Amino acid sequence: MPQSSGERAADGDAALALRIASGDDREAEAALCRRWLPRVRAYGRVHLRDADAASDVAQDILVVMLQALRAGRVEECDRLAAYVSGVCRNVVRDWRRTEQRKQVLLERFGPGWDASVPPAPTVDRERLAGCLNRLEARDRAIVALTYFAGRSGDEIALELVMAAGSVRVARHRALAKLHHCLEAAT
Amino acid sequence: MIALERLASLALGELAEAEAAVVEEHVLDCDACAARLELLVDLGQAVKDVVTAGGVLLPAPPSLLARLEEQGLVTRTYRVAPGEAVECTVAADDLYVALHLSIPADPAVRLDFVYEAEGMRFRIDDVPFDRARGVVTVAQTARFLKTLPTGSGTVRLVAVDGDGERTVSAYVLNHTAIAEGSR
Repeated sequence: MPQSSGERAADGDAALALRIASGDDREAEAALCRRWLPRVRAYGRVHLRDADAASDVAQDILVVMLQALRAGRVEECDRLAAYVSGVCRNVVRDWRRTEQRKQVLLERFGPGWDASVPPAPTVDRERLAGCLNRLEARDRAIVALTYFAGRSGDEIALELVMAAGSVRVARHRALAKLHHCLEAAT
Repeated sequence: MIALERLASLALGELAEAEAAVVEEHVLDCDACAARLELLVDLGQAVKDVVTAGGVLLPAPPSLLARLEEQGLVTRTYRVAPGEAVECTVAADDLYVALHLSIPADPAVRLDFVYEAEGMRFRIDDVPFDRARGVVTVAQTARFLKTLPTGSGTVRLVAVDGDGERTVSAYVLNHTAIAEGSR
């Protein structure tokens, strides 16, 4: 009788689980996590109805599973699903408890925050374009290299044939000008 | 209030762990610093947004040009040698037009970019250039180029040093304006 896909998965899982239990085997751990992540994430989505929360919970479940395998606490590696289902229940239950506690605190204290906390400050993009165009060319290039191209001060210094200290001074000058220019608008 | 540069360095993740901890502790005890830090973090994203939207004329050293090209923001490129002319234009869906001006070897410590056309003159002081490859690159916004009429303009690269200034090379740009209605 041919094996079902579930049985084949279990066989592969068991082999990897045994390798992990036998010693430090990062390759087996990575392979097992790749196999299990979609399964435990699906479990999380069913129980939490939230894709982000399910991904977070799935990672927690895998960490617990790996710790248990490494420590030799999983007695039947060929029945890993039974062990992990218990882990899933515990992790999801703990996550819900934490969320419930947070919800209670938010309901108790949250309403007072809404009206009194100012929104996070944001930069007016149109105004910023004008301010950037008013910077000296070199300073503008440094700002664009920093924030758009993701270059460090040392990398910019190398590229513009400047001392690293001069780049920092120029960037400080540029940021101060941008800051004043943006503040002048408000 | 903590120095803007230290907050900027914190926002950029450039501070060593111990110094970051000191600045973070200060920020947690200073409303104005926290507001400024949030603004600096947003500034990084805002610069990306503005550049990506084609809103800034950029002197473009190699890695900046590479990033613009990787993101498909440079939609037209012209290369011109000293004394030569180039036929150029801009299209409705252009964002940045890159102009590469090759320069004589070892031109000067500082080069200024001067554009002159009928009724228009602007100067970009101390334009960064790629000394190794001998090229000045400017990524001009298509938004600006779309406002130009058909006509010729001249770019001069002016070396500035202790002895004053002198033109080291000149280039002619014969611009054909974008058709009315497609701007």
